[in-house]
Amino acid sequence: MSADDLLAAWLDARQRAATDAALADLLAADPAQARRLQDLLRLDDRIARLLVPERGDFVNRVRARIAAGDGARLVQRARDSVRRLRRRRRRRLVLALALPVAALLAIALLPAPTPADGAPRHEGRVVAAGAVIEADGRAQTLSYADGTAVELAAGTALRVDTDDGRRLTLARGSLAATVAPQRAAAPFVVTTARSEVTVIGTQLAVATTAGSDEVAVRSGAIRLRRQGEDAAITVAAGEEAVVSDHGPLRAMVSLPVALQEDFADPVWSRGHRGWWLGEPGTGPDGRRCLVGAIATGTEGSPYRGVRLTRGEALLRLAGHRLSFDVWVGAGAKRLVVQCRDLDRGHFVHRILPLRTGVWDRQRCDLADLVHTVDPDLGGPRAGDRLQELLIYTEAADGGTPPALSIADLRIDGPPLEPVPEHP
Amino acid sequence: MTDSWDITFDTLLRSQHETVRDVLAGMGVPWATVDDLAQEAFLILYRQGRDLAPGSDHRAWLIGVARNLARSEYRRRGRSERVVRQLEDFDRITAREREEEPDAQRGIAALRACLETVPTDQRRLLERYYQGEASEALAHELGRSVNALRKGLLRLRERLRDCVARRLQADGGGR
Repeated sequence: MSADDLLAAWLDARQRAATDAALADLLAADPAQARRLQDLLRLDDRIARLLVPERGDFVNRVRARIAAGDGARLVQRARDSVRRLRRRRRRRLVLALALPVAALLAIALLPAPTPADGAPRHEGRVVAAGAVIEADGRAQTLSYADGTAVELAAGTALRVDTDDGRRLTLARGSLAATVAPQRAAAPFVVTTARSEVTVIGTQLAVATTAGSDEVAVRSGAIRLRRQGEDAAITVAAGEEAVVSDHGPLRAMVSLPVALQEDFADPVWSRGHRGWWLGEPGTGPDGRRCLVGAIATGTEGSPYRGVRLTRGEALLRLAGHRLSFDVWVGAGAKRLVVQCRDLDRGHFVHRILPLRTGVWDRQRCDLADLVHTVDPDLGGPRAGDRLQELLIYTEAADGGTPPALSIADLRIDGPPLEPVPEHP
Repeated sequence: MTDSWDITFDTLLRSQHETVRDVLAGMGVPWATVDDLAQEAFLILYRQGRDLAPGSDHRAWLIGVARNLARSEYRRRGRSERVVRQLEDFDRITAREREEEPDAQRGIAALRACLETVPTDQRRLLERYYQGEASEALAHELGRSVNALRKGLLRLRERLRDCVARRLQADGGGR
Protein backbone atom coordinates (compact mmCIF):
# COMPACT_ATOMS: atom_id res chain seq x y z
CA MET A 1 0.00 0.00 0.00
CA SER A 2 1.18 3.51 -0.69
CA ALA A 3 1.77 6.13 2.00
CA ASP A 4 -1.42 7.86 0.88
CA ASP A 5 -3.39 4.63 1.29
CA LEU A 6 -2.02 4.04 4.79
CA LEU A 7 -2.64 7.60 5.96
CA ALA A 8 -6.09 7.73 4.40
CA ALA A 9 -7.01 4.44 6.09
CA TRP A 10 -5.77 5.62 9.49
CA LEU A 11 -7.61 8.93 9.24
CA ASP A 12 -10.81 7.11 8.37
CA ALA A 13 -10.45 4.01 10.49
CA ARG A 14 -12.48 4.03 13.64
CA GLN A 15 -11.91 0.47 14.63
CA ARG A 16 -9.88 -1.33 12.01
CA ALA A 17 -6.28 -2.21 12.69
CA ALA A 18 -5.35 -4.13 9.57
CA THR A 19 -2.91 -1.55 8.27
CA ASP A 20 -1.48 -0.45 11.63
CA ALA A 21 1.74 -2.44 11.30
CA ALA A 22 2.46 -1.10 7.82
CA LEU A 23 1.74 2.45 9.00
CA ALA A 24 4.06 2.02 11.98
CA ASP A 25 6.81 0.91 9.60
CA LEU A 26 6.18 3.93 7.37
CA LEU A 27 6.28 6.41 10.26
CA ALA A 28 9.49 4.86 11.59
CA ALA A 29 11.13 5.15 8.20
CA ASP A 30 9.88 8.59 7.20
CA PRO A 31 9.42 11.36 9.80
CA ALA A 32 7.91 13.58 7.10
CA GLN A 33 4.95 11.21 6.95
CA ALA A 34 4.61 11.38 10.76
CA ARG A 35 4.40 15.17 10.54
CA ARG A 36 1.95 14.96 7.66
CA LEU A 37 -0.28 12.56 9.59
CA GLN A 38 -0.19 14.67 12.75
CA ASP A 39 -1.04 17.83 10.85
CA LEU A 40 -4.02 16.11 9.25
CA LEU A 41 -5.21 14.56 12.52
CA ARG A 42 -5.22 17.99 14.17
CA LEU A 43 -6.92 19.50 11.17
CA ASP A 44 -9.55 16.72 11.36
CA ASP A 45 -10.50 17.69 14.89
CA ARG A 46 -10.93 21.31 13.89
CA ILE A 47 -12.94 20.54 10.77
CA ALA A 48 -15.27 18.34 12.82
CA ARG A 49 -15.87 21.17 15.28
CA LEU A 50 -16.56 23.70 12.58
CA LEU A 51 -18.90 21.50 10.59
CA VAL A 52 -20.80 19.89 13.46
CA PRO A 53 -22.22 22.64 15.68
CA GLU A 54 -22.74 20.42 18.73
CA ARG A 55 -18.99 19.81 18.80
CA GLY A 56 -18.38 23.51 19.39
CA ASP A 57 -18.37 25.41 22.70
CA PHE A 58 -16.07 22.93 24.40
CA VAL A 59 -15.44 25.19 27.40
CA ASN A 60 -19.09 25.48 28.36
CA ARG A 61 -19.70 21.79 27.87
CA VAL A 62 -16.89 20.99 30.33
CA ARG A 63 -18.27 23.53 32.80
CA ALA A 64 -21.71 21.94 32.49
CA ARG A 65 -20.31 18.48 33.20
CA ILE A 66 -18.49 19.79 36.26
CA ALA A 67 -21.70 21.42 37.48
CA ALA A 68 -23.44 18.07 36.98
CA GLY A 69 -20.83 16.32 39.12
CA ASP A 70 -19.28 14.34 36.26
CA GLY A 71 -15.77 15.21 37.43
CA ALA A 72 -16.29 13.45 40.73
CA ARG A 73 -17.73 10.45 39.01
CA LEU A 74 -14.89 10.30 36.52
CA VAL A 75 -12.18 10.40 39.15
CA GLN A 76 -14.00 7.88 41.26
CA ARG A 77 -14.23 5.73 38.18
CA ALA A 78 -10.48 5.94 37.64
CA ARG A 79 -9.79 5.02 41.25
CA ASP A 80 -12.13 2.10 41.07
CA SER A 81 -10.92 0.90 37.69
CA VAL A 82 -8.99 -2.09 38.96
CA ARG A 83 -11.84 -3.24 41.15
CA ARG A 84 -14.26 -2.64 38.31
CA LEU A 85 -12.27 -4.77 35.91
CA ARG A 86 -12.42 -7.67 38.35
CA ARG A 87 -16.14 -7.29 38.85
CA ARG A 88 -16.98 -6.40 35.28
CA ARG A 89 -17.64 -9.80 33.89
CA ARG A 90 -19.75 -10.95 36.83
CA ARG A 91 -21.82 -7.75 36.78
CA ARG A 92 -22.47 -7.98 33.07
CA LEU A 93 -23.78 -11.47 33.45
CA VAL A 94 -26.14 -10.27 36.15
CA LEU A 95 -27.23 -7.31 34.03
CA ALA A 96 -27.80 -9.52 31.04
CA LEU A 97 -30.29 -11.49 33.06
CA ALA A 98 -31.81 -8.62 35.03
CA LEU A 99 -32.26 -5.91 32.42
CA PRO A 100 -34.61 -7.77 30.08
CA VAL A 101 -36.79 -8.52 33.11
CA ALA A 102 -36.61 -4.89 34.23
CA ALA A 103 -37.39 -3.73 30.69
CA LEU A 104 -40.49 -5.89 30.55
CA LEU A 105 -41.61 -4.63 33.98
CA ALA A 106 -41.04 -1.04 32.85
CA ILE A 107 -42.99 -1.71 29.69
CA ALA A 108 -45.93 -2.94 31.75
CA LEU A 109 -45.85 0.13 33.99
CA LEU A 110 -45.53 2.79 31.29
CA PRO A 111 -48.44 5.24 30.87
CA ALA A 112 -50.88 4.92 27.99
CA PRO A 113 -49.32 6.04 24.70
CA THR A 114 -50.30 9.21 22.86
CA PRO A 115 -50.54 8.96 19.06
CA ALA A 116 -48.43 11.41 17.09
CA ASP A 117 -47.82 12.47 13.49
CA GLY A 118 -45.21 10.35 11.70
CA ALA A 119 -45.70 7.49 14.10
CA PRO A 120 -45.17 3.96 12.76
CA ARG A 121 -48.08 1.68 12.00
CA HIS A 122 -48.68 -1.86 13.07
CA GLU A 123 -51.51 -3.83 11.51
CA GLY A 124 -52.91 -0.57 10.13
CA ARG A 125 -52.98 1.22 13.47
CA VAL A 126 -50.78 4.07 14.63
CA VAL A 127 -48.29 2.96 17.28
CA ALA A 128 -47.44 5.63 19.84
CA ALA A 129 -44.54 5.99 22.24
CA GLY A 130 -44.59 3.39 24.96
CA ALA A 131 -46.45 0.78 22.97
CA VAL A 132 -45.16 -2.77 23.10
CA ILE A 133 -45.48 -5.15 20.21
CA GLU A 134 -45.25 -8.80 21.08
CA ALA A 135 -44.95 -11.03 18.04
CA ASP A 136 -46.22 -14.16 19.69
CA GLY A 137 -46.62 -17.05 17.37
CA ARG A 138 -46.03 -15.23 14.09
CA ALA A 139 -43.81 -12.61 12.48
CA GLN A 140 -45.12 -9.03 12.44
CA THR A 141 -44.17 -5.80 10.71
CA LEU A 142 -43.88 -2.20 11.85
CA SER A 143 -44.05 0.20 8.90
CA TYR A 144 -43.20 3.89 8.53
CA ALA A 145 -44.28 6.59 6.11
CA ASP A 146 -40.72 7.00 4.76
CA GLY A 147 -40.57 3.36 3.70
CA THR A 148 -38.75 2.09 6.73
CA ALA A 149 -39.94 -1.36 7.75
CA VAL A 150 -39.13 -3.38 10.84
CA GLU A 151 -39.97 -7.07 10.74
CA LEU A 152 -40.26 -8.86 14.05
CA ALA A 153 -39.60 -12.59 14.18
CA ALA A 154 -42.05 -14.77 16.08
CA GLY A 155 -41.44 -14.58 19.81
CA THR A 156 -40.06 -11.05 19.70
CA ALA A 157 -41.00 -8.24 22.13
CA LEU A 158 -40.32 -4.69 20.95
CA ARG A 159 -41.11 -1.40 22.64
CA VAL A 160 -41.54 1.84 20.66
CA ASP A 161 -39.81 4.48 22.78
CA THR A 162 -40.60 7.71 20.93
CA ASP A 163 -43.58 9.23 19.16
CA ASP A 164 -41.84 9.09 15.79
CA GLY A 165 -40.93 5.46 16.40
CA ARG A 166 -37.26 6.04 15.69
CA ARG A 167 -36.09 4.71 19.02
CA LEU A 168 -36.93 1.08 19.67
CA THR A 169 -36.05 -1.27 22.48
CA LEU A 170 -35.69 -4.93 21.63
CA ALA A 171 -36.57 -6.76 24.85
CA ARG A 172 -36.30 -10.25 23.38
CA GLY A 173 -36.11 -12.03 20.06
CA SER A 174 -34.89 -10.64 16.78
CA LEU A 175 -35.79 -8.13 14.10
CA ALA A 176 -34.77 -7.33 10.55
CA ALA A 177 -35.05 -3.72 9.43
CA THR A 178 -34.86 -1.82 6.18
CA VAL A 179 -34.29 1.76 7.22
CA ALA A 180 -34.71 4.64 4.79
CA PRO A 181 -31.87 7.24 4.86
CA GLN A 182 -32.12 9.22 8.10
CA ARG A 183 -30.85 12.62 9.08
CA ALA A 184 -27.59 12.20 10.98
CA ALA A 185 -28.98 14.42 13.74
CA ALA A 186 -32.03 12.18 14.17
CA PRO A 187 -30.90 8.63 13.52
CA PHE A 188 -32.89 5.47 13.90
CA VAL A 189 -31.81 3.71 17.11
CA VAL A 190 -32.42 0.16 18.30
CA THR A 191 -31.35 -0.67 21.84
CA THR A 192 -31.17 -3.88 23.82
CA ALA A 193 -30.14 -4.40 27.41
CA ARG A 194 -26.63 -4.88 26.13
CA SER A 195 -26.09 -2.68 23.10
CA GLU A 196 -27.22 0.33 21.09
CA VAL A 197 -27.40 0.31 17.29
CA THR A 198 -27.52 3.68 15.56
CA VAL A 199 -28.72 3.53 11.97
CA ILE A 200 -28.32 6.19 9.33
CA GLY A 201 -30.03 4.25 6.56
CA THR A 202 -29.46 0.59 5.94
CA GLN A 203 -30.70 -2.97 5.98
CA LEU A 204 -29.84 -4.80 9.13
CA ALA A 205 -30.78 -7.59 11.49
CA VAL A 206 -30.58 -7.49 15.27
CA ALA A 207 -31.03 -10.43 17.63
CA THR A 208 -30.74 -10.53 21.40
CA THR A 209 -30.25 -13.64 23.50
CA ALA A 210 -29.23 -14.28 27.10
CA GLY A 211 -25.57 -14.53 26.12
CA SER A 212 -25.06 -12.02 23.34
CA ASP A 213 -26.53 -9.66 20.77
CA GLU A 214 -25.87 -10.11 17.09
CA VAL A 215 -26.05 -7.39 14.48
CA ALA A 216 -25.65 -8.06 10.77
CA VAL A 217 -25.61 -5.25 8.20
CA ARG A 218 -26.63 -6.00 4.63
CA SER A 219 -26.34 -2.49 3.16
CA GLY A 220 -25.30 0.94 4.41
CA ALA A 221 -23.67 1.09 7.82
CA ILE A 222 -24.54 1.45 11.48
CA ARG A 223 -22.88 2.67 14.64
CA LEU A 224 -22.85 0.15 17.47
CA ARG A 225 -21.92 0.55 21.09
CA ARG A 226 -22.20 -1.54 24.20
CA GLN A 227 -24.62 -0.18 26.80
CA GLY A 228 -22.74 1.75 29.47
CA GLU A 229 -19.71 2.39 27.25
CA ASP A 230 -18.97 5.50 25.20
CA ALA A 231 -16.92 3.98 22.42
CA ALA A 232 -18.82 2.95 19.32
CA ILE A 233 -17.77 1.05 16.22
CA THR A 234 -19.03 1.22 12.66
CA VAL A 235 -20.42 -1.97 11.21
CA ALA A 236 -20.53 -1.70 7.43
CA ALA A 237 -22.34 -3.60 4.73
CA GLY A 238 -21.39 -7.25 4.67
CA GLU A 239 -20.12 -7.12 8.23
CA GLU A 240 -21.58 -8.37 11.44
CA ALA A 241 -20.80 -7.84 15.10
CA VAL A 242 -21.45 -9.81 18.23
CA VAL A 243 -21.92 -7.94 21.51
CA SER A 244 -21.13 -10.45 24.21
CA ASP A 245 -20.33 -10.18 27.89
CA HIS A 246 -16.67 -10.63 27.16
CA GLY A 247 -14.21 -9.65 24.48
CA PRO A 248 -13.78 -6.40 22.58
CA LEU A 249 -16.49 -4.89 20.42
CA ARG A 250 -15.55 -5.30 16.79
CA ALA A 251 -17.00 -5.70 13.35
CA MET A 252 -16.29 -8.90 11.49
CA VAL A 253 -16.35 -9.77 7.86
CA SER A 254 -19.33 -11.95 7.36
CA LEU A 255 -18.06 -15.24 6.04
CA PRO A 256 -20.91 -17.40 4.88
CA VAL A 257 -20.34 -20.83 6.30
CA ALA A 258 -20.92 -23.44 3.69
CA LEU A 259 -21.84 -26.75 5.24
CA GLN A 260 -21.27 -28.87 2.20
CA GLU A 261 -21.96 -32.51 2.78
CA ASP A 262 -20.13 -33.59 -0.29
CA PHE A 263 -17.11 -31.49 -1.03
CA ALA A 264 -14.82 -33.70 -3.03
CA ASP A 265 -13.20 -31.94 -5.94
CA PRO A 266 -11.24 -34.80 -7.53
CA VAL A 267 -8.21 -32.64 -8.23
CA TRP A 268 -8.00 -30.37 -5.28
CA SER A 269 -8.99 -32.93 -2.69
CA ARG A 270 -6.18 -35.28 -3.61
CA GLY A 271 -4.48 -36.43 -0.46
CA HIS A 272 -7.17 -34.99 1.70
CA ARG A 273 -8.17 -37.42 4.41
CA GLY A 274 -11.80 -36.53 4.31
CA TRP A 275 -13.91 -33.46 4.32
CA TRP A 276 -14.70 -31.30 7.19
CA LEU A 277 -17.86 -30.11 8.69
CA GLY A 278 -18.81 -27.68 11.33
CA GLU A 279 -22.11 -26.20 12.33
CA PRO A 280 -23.42 -23.22 14.25
CA GLY A 281 -24.15 -24.15 17.84
CA THR A 282 -23.42 -23.35 21.45
CA GLY A 283 -19.96 -23.78 22.89
CA PRO A 284 -18.47 -23.52 26.37
CA ASP A 285 -19.90 -20.68 28.50
CA GLY A 286 -23.02 -20.74 26.35
CA ARG A 287 -21.28 -18.83 23.60
CA ARG A 288 -22.64 -18.99 20.07
CA CYS A 289 -19.98 -20.44 17.83
CA LEU A 290 -19.13 -22.93 15.15
CA VAL A 291 -18.86 -26.38 16.67
CA GLY A 292 -16.28 -28.59 15.02
CA ALA A 293 -17.15 -32.01 13.67
CA ILE A 294 -15.09 -35.14 13.19
CA ALA A 295 -13.76 -35.44 9.66
CA THR A 296 -15.81 -37.78 7.61
CA GLY A 297 -14.57 -40.15 4.97
CA THR A 298 -11.95 -41.73 7.20
CA GLU A 299 -12.67 -44.35 9.80
CA GLY A 300 -11.42 -43.60 13.29
CA SER A 301 -10.29 -40.12 12.31
CA PRO A 302 -8.33 -38.32 15.02
CA TYR A 303 -9.27 -34.96 13.50
CA ARG A 304 -12.07 -32.55 14.29
CA GLY A 305 -12.50 -29.26 12.53
CA VAL A 306 -14.58 -26.64 10.82
CA ARG A 307 -14.37 -25.63 7.19
CA LEU A 308 -15.34 -22.17 6.04
CA THR A 309 -15.80 -21.09 2.47
CA ARG A 310 -17.10 -17.98 0.80
CA GLY A 311 -19.60 -19.77 -1.34
CA GLU A 312 -18.42 -19.60 -4.91
CA ALA A 313 -16.01 -16.77 -4.16
CA LEU A 314 -12.41 -17.33 -3.20
CA LEU A 315 -10.01 -15.30 -1.13
CA ARG A 316 -7.27 -13.42 -2.89
CA LEU A 317 -4.39 -13.25 -0.48
CA ALA A 318 -3.04 -9.74 -0.08
CA GLY A 319 -2.05 -8.96 3.46
CA HIS A 320 -4.97 -10.62 5.13
CA ARG A 321 -4.87 -11.51 8.79
CA LEU A 322 -7.02 -14.15 10.36
CA SER A 323 -8.17 -14.03 13.96
CA PHE A 324 -10.66 -16.07 15.91
CA ASP A 325 -11.53 -17.30 19.39
CA VAL A 326 -11.05 -21.02 19.83
CA TRP A 327 -11.87 -23.49 22.58
CA VAL A 328 -10.14 -26.86 22.37
CA GLY A 329 -10.91 -29.73 24.71
CA ALA A 330 -8.34 -31.70 26.69
CA GLY A 331 -6.36 -34.35 24.87
CA ALA A 332 -5.50 -32.28 21.80
CA LYS A 333 -2.15 -32.70 20.14
CA ARG A 334 -2.17 -29.61 17.98
CA LEU A 335 -4.30 -26.85 16.48
CA VAL A 336 -3.89 -26.09 12.79
CA VAL A 337 -5.18 -23.52 10.35
CA GLN A 338 -5.05 -24.67 6.75
CA CYS A 339 -6.05 -23.31 3.34
CA ARG A 340 -5.95 -24.68 -0.15
CA ASP A 341 -3.80 -22.57 -2.40
CA LEU A 342 -5.33 -22.77 -5.85
CA ASP A 343 -2.55 -21.02 -7.71
CA ARG A 344 0.18 -23.28 -6.42
CA GLY A 345 -1.92 -26.39 -6.19
CA HIS A 346 -1.28 -27.50 -2.63
CA PHE A 347 -2.33 -27.11 0.94
CA VAL A 348 -0.73 -24.48 3.10
CA HIS A 349 -1.00 -24.48 6.86
CA ARG A 350 0.27 -23.17 10.12
CA ILE A 351 0.34 -24.80 13.56
CA LEU A 352 -0.99 -22.42 16.18
CA PRO A 353 -0.19 -22.20 19.89
CA LEU A 354 -2.45 -24.61 21.72
CA ARG A 355 -4.20 -23.98 25.02
CA THR A 356 -6.91 -26.38 26.05
CA GLY A 357 -9.99 -25.84 28.17
CA VAL A 358 -10.14 -22.05 27.71
CA TRP A 359 -11.35 -19.58 25.09
CA ASP A 360 -8.15 -18.40 23.42
CA ARG A 361 -7.76 -15.64 20.82
CA GLN A 362 -5.64 -16.77 17.88
CA ARG A 363 -4.10 -14.53 15.25
CA CYS A 364 -2.37 -15.56 12.07
CA ASP A 365 -1.22 -13.78 8.94
CA LEU A 366 -2.38 -15.80 5.97
CA ALA A 367 0.90 -14.94 4.27
CA ASP A 368 2.67 -16.93 7.02
CA LEU A 369 1.12 -20.23 6.02
CA VAL A 370 3.61 -22.75 4.62
CA HIS A 371 3.41 -25.77 2.36
CA THR A 372 1.85 -28.60 4.33
CA VAL A 373 4.21 -31.29 3.06
CA ASP A 374 7.45 -29.42 2.41
CA PRO A 375 7.93 -26.10 4.23
CA ASP A 376 10.85 -25.30 1.93
CA LEU A 377 8.36 -24.84 -0.87
CA GLY A 378 7.13 -21.76 0.95
CA GLY A 379 3.61 -20.52 1.28
CA PRO A 380 1.16 -18.36 -0.60
CA ARG A 381 2.23 -15.06 -2.06
CA ALA A 382 0.35 -11.82 -2.44
CA GLY A 383 -2.18 -12.28 -5.19
CA ASP A 384 -2.47 -16.02 -4.73
CA ARG A 385 -5.98 -17.35 -4.41
CA LEU A 386 -6.98 -19.37 -1.41
CA GLN A 387 -10.01 -21.57 -1.38
CA GLU A 388 -11.69 -22.63 1.84
CA LEU A 389 -10.29 -22.25 5.30
CA LEU A 390 -9.89 -25.17 7.66
CA ILE A 391 -9.32 -24.95 11.38
CA TYR A 392 -8.81 -28.34 12.96
CA THR A 393 -7.41 -30.13 15.94
CA GLU A 394 -5.93 -33.59 16.28
CA ALA A 395 -6.19 -36.05 19.16
CA ALA A 396 -2.91 -36.54 21.05
CA ASP A 397 -3.25 -40.30 21.27
CA GLY A 398 -4.74 -40.80 17.85
CA GLY A 399 -8.07 -41.59 19.45
CA THR A 400 -11.27 -39.61 19.59
CA PRO A 401 -10.61 -35.98 18.62
CA PRO A 402 -11.21 -33.36 21.33
CA ALA A 403 -14.01 -30.79 21.23
CA LEU A 404 -13.41 -27.72 19.08
CA SER A 405 -15.40 -24.47 19.05
CA ILE A 406 -14.69 -21.38 16.94
CA ALA A 407 -16.17 -17.90 17.53
CA ASP A 408 -15.66 -14.30 16.43
CA LEU A 409 -13.78 -15.31 13.32
CA ARG A 410 -12.52 -12.32 11.41
CA ILE A 411 -10.36 -11.66 8.40
CA ASP A 412 -8.73 -8.25 8.46
CA GLY A 413 -7.24 -6.67 5.43
CA PRO A 414 -8.33 -5.36 2.05
CA PRO A 415 -11.84 -6.23 0.95
CA LEU A 416 -12.17 -9.91 0.08
CA GLU A 417 -12.58 -9.91 -3.63
CA PRO A 418 -14.24 -12.64 -5.60
CA VAL A 419 -11.88 -14.18 -8.13
CA PRO A 420 -12.56 -16.58 -10.96
CA GLU A 421 -12.54 -20.30 -10.43
CA HIS A 422 -9.28 -22.05 -11.12
CA PRO A 423 -9.00 -22.84 -14.83
CA MET B 1 -16.86 28.30 40.62
CA THR B 2 -15.82 30.26 43.64
CA ASP B 3 -12.43 29.45 45.20
CA SER B 4 -8.98 30.18 43.82
CA TRP B 5 -8.62 26.71 42.32
CA ASP B 6 -11.85 27.21 40.40
CA ILE B 7 -10.43 30.39 38.92
CA THR B 8 -7.13 28.71 38.10
CA PHE B 9 -8.96 25.80 36.51
CA ASP B 10 -11.18 28.04 34.44
CA THR B 11 -8.12 29.85 33.15
CA LEU B 12 -6.50 26.55 32.22
CA LEU B 13 -9.68 25.36 30.56
CA ARG B 14 -9.96 28.44 28.37
CA SER B 15 -6.26 28.69 27.55
CA GLN B 16 -5.28 25.03 27.17
CA HIS B 17 -8.19 23.20 25.62
CA GLU B 18 -6.82 23.62 22.12
CA THR B 19 -3.44 22.34 23.29
CA VAL B 20 -5.01 19.28 24.89
CA ARG B 21 -6.98 18.55 21.74
CA ASP B 22 -3.83 18.94 19.65
CA VAL B 23 -1.95 16.52 21.89
CA LEU B 24 -4.70 13.92 21.64
CA ALA B 25 -5.16 14.29 17.90
CA GLY B 26 -1.39 14.32 17.39
CA MET B 27 -1.19 10.95 19.15
CA GLY B 28 -3.51 9.55 16.53
CA VAL B 29 -6.77 9.63 18.49
CA PRO B 30 -9.61 9.73 15.91
CA TRP B 31 -11.44 13.03 15.61
CA ALA B 32 -14.67 11.42 16.84
CA THR B 33 -12.99 10.57 20.16
CA VAL B 34 -10.79 13.62 20.72
CA ASP B 35 -13.63 15.65 22.22
CA ASP B 36 -14.57 12.96 24.74
CA LEU B 37 -11.00 12.41 25.90
CA ALA B 38 -10.31 16.15 26.13
CA GLN B 39 -13.35 16.53 28.37
CA GLU B 40 -12.18 13.64 30.52
CA ALA B 41 -8.73 15.20 30.87
CA PHE B 42 -10.20 18.47 32.14
CA LEU B 43 -12.63 16.74 34.47
CA ILE B 44 -9.76 14.79 36.01
CA LEU B 45 -7.75 18.01 36.29
CA TYR B 46 -10.66 19.75 38.00
CA ARG B 47 -11.04 17.06 40.63
CA GLN B 48 -7.39 16.27 41.27
CA GLY B 49 -5.54 19.42 40.30
CA ARG B 50 -6.38 21.25 43.52
CA ASP B 51 -4.52 18.54 45.48
CA LEU B 52 -1.26 18.98 43.58
CA ALA B 53 1.64 20.48 45.52
CA PRO B 54 1.90 24.30 45.44
CA GLY B 55 3.90 25.45 42.46
CA SER B 56 3.05 22.37 40.41
CA ASP B 57 2.90 22.78 36.66
CA HIS B 58 -0.80 22.16 36.07
CA ARG B 59 -0.40 22.47 32.32
CA ALA B 60 2.24 19.75 32.17
CA TRP B 61 0.14 17.57 34.49
CA LEU B 62 -2.90 18.09 32.29
CA ILE B 63 -1.00 17.10 29.16
CA GLY B 64 0.31 14.02 30.95
CA VAL B 65 -3.27 13.04 31.78
CA ALA B 66 -4.26 13.53 28.15
CA ARG B 67 -1.39 11.33 26.95
CA ASN B 68 -2.38 8.59 29.40
CA LEU B 69 -5.97 8.75 28.23
CA ALA B 70 -4.83 8.44 24.62
CA ARG B 71 -2.70 5.39 25.44
CA SER B 72 -5.60 3.80 27.30
CA GLU B 73 -7.84 4.45 24.34
CA TYR B 74 -5.41 2.67 22.04
CA ARG B 75 -5.27 -0.35 24.31
CA ARG B 76 -9.04 -0.39 24.62
CA ARG B 77 -9.45 -0.32 20.85
CA GLY B 78 -6.79 -2.93 20.29
CA ARG B 79 -4.87 -0.62 17.98
CA SER B 80 -1.13 -0.79 17.34
CA GLU B 81 0.81 0.81 20.18
CA ARG B 82 3.76 1.15 17.82
CA VAL B 83 1.90 3.83 15.90
CA VAL B 84 1.02 5.81 19.01
CA ARG B 85 4.57 5.53 20.35
CA GLN B 86 5.99 6.85 17.10
CA LEU B 87 3.51 9.69 16.91
CA GLU B 88 4.13 10.53 20.57
CA ASP B 89 7.91 10.53 20.08
CA PHE B 90 7.55 12.77 17.06
CA ASP B 91 5.20 15.04 18.98
CA ARG B 92 7.78 15.50 21.74
CA ILE B 93 10.44 16.36 19.16
CA THR B 94 8.26 19.00 17.54
CA ALA B 95 6.62 20.33 20.72
CA ARG B 96 8.79 23.45 20.86
CA GLU B 97 8.18 24.14 17.21
CA ARG B 98 4.44 23.91 17.75
CA GLU B 99 4.60 26.37 20.64
CA GLU B 100 5.82 28.93 18.13
CA GLU B 101 2.89 28.36 15.80
CA PRO B 102 0.19 30.99 15.44
CA ASP B 103 -2.45 30.82 18.14
CA ALA B 104 -5.16 28.28 17.64
CA GLN B 105 -7.96 30.78 17.20
CA ARG B 106 -6.26 32.32 14.19
CA GLY B 107 -5.78 28.87 12.70
CA ILE B 108 -9.45 28.04 13.26
CA ALA B 109 -10.54 31.33 11.70
CA ALA B 110 -8.37 30.57 8.67
CA LEU B 111 -9.83 27.09 8.42
CA ARG B 112 -13.35 28.49 8.59
CA ALA B 113 -12.55 30.82 5.69
CA CYS B 114 -10.99 27.96 3.73
CA LEU B 115 -14.05 25.77 4.24
CA GLU B 116 -16.12 28.52 2.64
CA THR B 117 -14.14 28.04 -0.55
CA VAL B 118 -14.84 24.30 -0.79
CA PRO B 119 -17.30 23.50 -3.62
CA THR B 120 -20.81 22.77 -2.38
CA ASP B 121 -20.83 19.05 -3.20
CA GLN B 122 -17.50 18.46 -1.50
CA ARG B 123 -18.53 20.51 1.52
CA ARG B 124 -21.72 18.47 1.81
CA LEU B 125 -19.61 15.30 1.67
CA LEU B 126 -17.41 16.65 4.47
CA GLU B 127 -20.44 17.56 6.57
CA ARG B 128 -21.93 14.10 6.26
CA TYR B 129 -18.61 12.42 6.95
CA TYR B 130 -17.92 14.47 10.07
CA GLN B 131 -21.47 13.98 11.27
CA GLY B 132 -20.60 10.33 11.52
CA GLU B 133 -21.80 8.73 8.30
CA ALA B 134 -19.56 5.80 7.47
CA SER B 135 -17.25 6.14 4.51
CA GLU B 136 -18.51 2.76 3.29
CA ALA B 137 -22.06 4.08 3.07
CA LEU B 138 -20.95 7.33 1.42
CA ALA B 139 -18.79 5.49 -1.09
CA HIS B 140 -21.67 3.19 -1.95
CA GLU B 141 -23.99 6.14 -2.50
CA LEU B 142 -21.46 7.93 -4.67
CA GLY B 143 -20.61 4.84 -6.67
CA ARG B 144 -16.97 4.92 -5.61
CA SER B 145 -14.79 2.42 -3.82
CA VAL B 146 -14.11 3.02 -0.15
CA ASN B 147 -10.43 3.39 -0.89
CA ALA B 148 -11.12 6.02 -3.54
CA LEU B 149 -13.37 7.93 -1.16
CA ARG B 150 -10.78 7.81 1.62
CA LYS B 151 -8.09 9.09 -0.71
CA GLY B 152 -10.42 11.80 -1.97
CA LEU B 153 -11.00 12.92 1.62
CA LEU B 154 -7.25 12.83 2.20
CA ARG B 155 -6.66 15.15 -0.75
CA LEU B 156 -9.45 17.44 0.42
CA ARG B 157 -7.92 17.65 3.87
CA GLU B 158 -4.53 18.45 2.37
CA ARG B 159 -6.00 21.22 0.27
CA LEU B 160 -7.55 22.69 3.40
CA ARG B 161 -4.27 22.34 5.30
CA ASP B 162 -2.41 24.17 2.52
CA CYS B 163 -5.13 26.82 2.33
CA VAL B 164 -4.84 27.48 6.08
CA ALA B 165 -1.05 27.77 5.81
CA ARG B 166 -1.34 30.25 2.94
CA ARG B 167 -3.87 32.40 4.80
CA LEU B 168 -1.79 32.48 7.98
CA GLN B 169 1.28 33.40 5.98
CA ALA B 170 -0.60 36.13 4.17
CA ASP B 171 -1.67 37.48 7.58
CA GLY B 172 1.98 37.71 8.57
CA GLY B 173 1.85 35.08 11.29
CA GLY B 174 2.85 32.04 9.33
CA ARG B 175 5.50 29.61 10.30
